[in-house]
Order: sequence, then C-alpha cells, then structure tokens
Amino acid sequence: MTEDLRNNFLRTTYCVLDNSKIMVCLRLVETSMELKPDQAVQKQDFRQILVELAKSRDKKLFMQLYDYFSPRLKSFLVRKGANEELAEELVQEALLSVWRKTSSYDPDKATASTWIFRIARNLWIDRLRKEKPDMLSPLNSYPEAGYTPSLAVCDSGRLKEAMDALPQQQAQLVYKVYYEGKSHREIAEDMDMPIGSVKSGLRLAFDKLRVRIGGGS
Amino acid sequence: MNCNHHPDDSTLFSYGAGSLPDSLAMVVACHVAVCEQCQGKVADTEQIGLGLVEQEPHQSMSSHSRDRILDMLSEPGIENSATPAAQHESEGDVPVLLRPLLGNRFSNLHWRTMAPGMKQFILPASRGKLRLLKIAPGTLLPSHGHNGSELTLVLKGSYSDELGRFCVGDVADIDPDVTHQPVADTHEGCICLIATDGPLRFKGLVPRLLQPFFQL
Ligand SMILES: [Zn+2]
Repeated sequence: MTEDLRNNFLRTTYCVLDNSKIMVCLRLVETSMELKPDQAVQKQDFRQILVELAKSRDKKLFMQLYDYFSPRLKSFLVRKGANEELAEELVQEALLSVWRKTSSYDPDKATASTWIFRIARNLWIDRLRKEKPDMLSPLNSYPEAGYTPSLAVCDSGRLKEAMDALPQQQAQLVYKVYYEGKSHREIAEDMDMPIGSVKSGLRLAFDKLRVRIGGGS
Repeated sequence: MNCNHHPDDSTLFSYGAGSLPDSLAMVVACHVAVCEQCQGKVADTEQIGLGLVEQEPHQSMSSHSRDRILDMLSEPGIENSATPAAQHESEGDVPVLLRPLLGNRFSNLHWRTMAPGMKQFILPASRGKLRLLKIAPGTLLPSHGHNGSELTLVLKGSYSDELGRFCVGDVADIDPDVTHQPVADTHEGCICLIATDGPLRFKGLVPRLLQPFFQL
C-alpha cells in the first residue's frame, strides 16, 4: 500500500485504534448496509449460482457474482496491503479462477463466500512470494487448499457482539491482523510488546470469537 | 494424519486472515493440508474473516474493470487454462503441495552444505526466509533463539529438542524467547521446512560463525 493511500485511509476511517471508536465505525458501516434479513438467502443463492454456472457457463449469471464479490474482495486485498491496481488485478484473477473452477465447487462442502475468499487469499500469498525478482517459481504454485471450509454462515450480529466483548487490547490485535494485514512481528513492533504476548492475546481472542460464532470445540 | 504438534492458534488465526508473511504461510499450508484438527480451526478463522469483511465499507472497482472481465471471459483458452495438477500425482517423497516448487524428490534438489551434517535448500519467499534443512542422523544443530517467528515442519524423519519429539507432519511454532537445540534422532536423518520472520540468535562464538551460512 502506498504511504499516501494508507495515511489517507487511516485518517478518514480508523484513525484511532481505540476500541470504542472502532465499534462506532462498525456501527456506522452496519447501518449503511441494512440488507441483513436477506443476507442468508443471498448466500444461499450464490451457492446455487456457482452450481448453475458449472453447467450453463452463463456470463450474465457470473456477473452477478462479480458485482457482489469484487468490491468485497478488493477491500479485503487492500487491507492486506495491496495497492489499488494490484488489488483490482488480483480480484480479476480470483474471479476468473472462480469461473474456471466452478465444476470443482461442491455446494455441500463450502459456502460460495468461503470458497471464493479462499481463492483470493491464496492468490494474494502467492503474489507476495512472486514479488521477489529472483524467484523462479512457476505460476500458481501456491498450494491449493483442498479441505473443507465451514458451511455455517457467519452471523455478523453475534460476531460484532463478540468483538464488543473483547478486552480492548485483544480487539486491537484482531483489528491489526484482519484489517491491517500485519504479521505478529509487525504488531509486536507497533504495540511495543513481545511477540509472545501478541500471540497469547490473539489466542484468547480467537477462542472467544470462535465460541461466539458457533465454531470451536 | 495424526500430528502431535500444531501451529499455535494465533498462527492459524493470522493464516486464515491472509496476514502471515508468505514464508510462514507456506509452512502452515503444508501442515493444514494433512491435519484435520487445524483444518477445522482455519475454517473458523475464515468465517470470522467473512464476518469482519461485511462490517466494513467495500471498495468499488474502477469503471472499466467490469467490461474487461467480460472480455476475458470470451477469450479463447480461458476455459482450459485450469490447474496443471496431474503431473504432481506421481511417485516421490516431496509433499504434493510443494511439488510445483521442488519437483517430486528431495534427492533431485541441489542441496548446499552449510556445515558437517547440515545441508540446506533455499525456497523463494518475499517476507521472511523459507528453507529446507537436511540434518544427518545424530547431528546437533547449534542452540539458538529468534528475533521473530519461526515455524518448522518435519517432512522426513524426526528430530528432538527441549520442546519434545517432532515427527513427519508436526509443526514447531516457537516463540522468540525460546532457545532450542534440535537433534536429528533417527537413522534416516531429518528434512524440515523452516520459515523464519526475523534473524536467528546464536549462542556462543562457533555457532555465530555459522550465521553467514544460514544467510540471515
Ligand atoms: Zn494441526
């Protein structure tokens, strides 16, 4: 991410990493996307669309996926540190990949969203690796995750509650991992704490979030 | 596969979020591919990630991108440019996930000797270091700590250190303040995939002389 873009972003959105402020922002965001009730239905439909696409290869149908997922994937990638241009390129690549791979999508094993985001995440990590000029690795060599993502649709209300309930420092750690794409080492430097404490804080936060979204064991 | 040692939950959490440096992510991916327990946890992190993505503003694509992808869908060859997976299914001792990078057999790699009983092969990584380390039976690695994260995945044989015994599929996820001294503890020696995110700290003069060989 360019320094400008980053600063601008931090200034306009989440300039202070204070728990209450984050929550205020989240609340604002939420009121602006009050399509809650049919979200579950929508996700169901995407699953249908993917299955349908494998058979019909209907471009119009595909563009429904594109219109829904591209802005989400883009924001996900920009958060990870991709600049505008790279983020868009990767979004295109990810969705083309979706188009090619629809026949390997199993609706009984993954929601459309988890499947598509996993493709994007793997592309992103693969791209990081290829940024190094002396890399001889072939294209798309990042291991394809063949295992089953979760089938459950994440209840974003419960997740928000769980985030609200986290101690401030743990919320901040989660924020830095998900929204700033930072590694444990970078977080340790940012927050001036030992890596061991970053890890234990994340462990605790993960535990609480998992339980609240109905995952975990 | 039944593994005894797994990546820390915090590592899986960052992996699922796509925020691990690529070197560390590669090690985690190789473990998760064979460990059901960790697959479940990564699936949970993905759920959390999707929930968090929904809680923030989305970024619209630039105006021409829609037309461009429509064009690309019409390009000849788009349909069959899918993954060339078949070639990786054949015989070999390299884990399937690493074959696109390494080929099928460890013995075909151009190993570089670092010290008696110790060979390495460097893999590409943009953040952190990623290497294969081949340790001859009985070889003791220099005792060291780290300044960042270190993830070690056993690919062949096994080793022991202060933290326990690590067999094929096991991951050692070591905090920086931990100092350890691994030893290859079977007759076949040991091959590990090791990712580090920050330089190692060696204790004592002789090991420090080894530092250049580790390229750190
Ligand atoms: Zn595991």
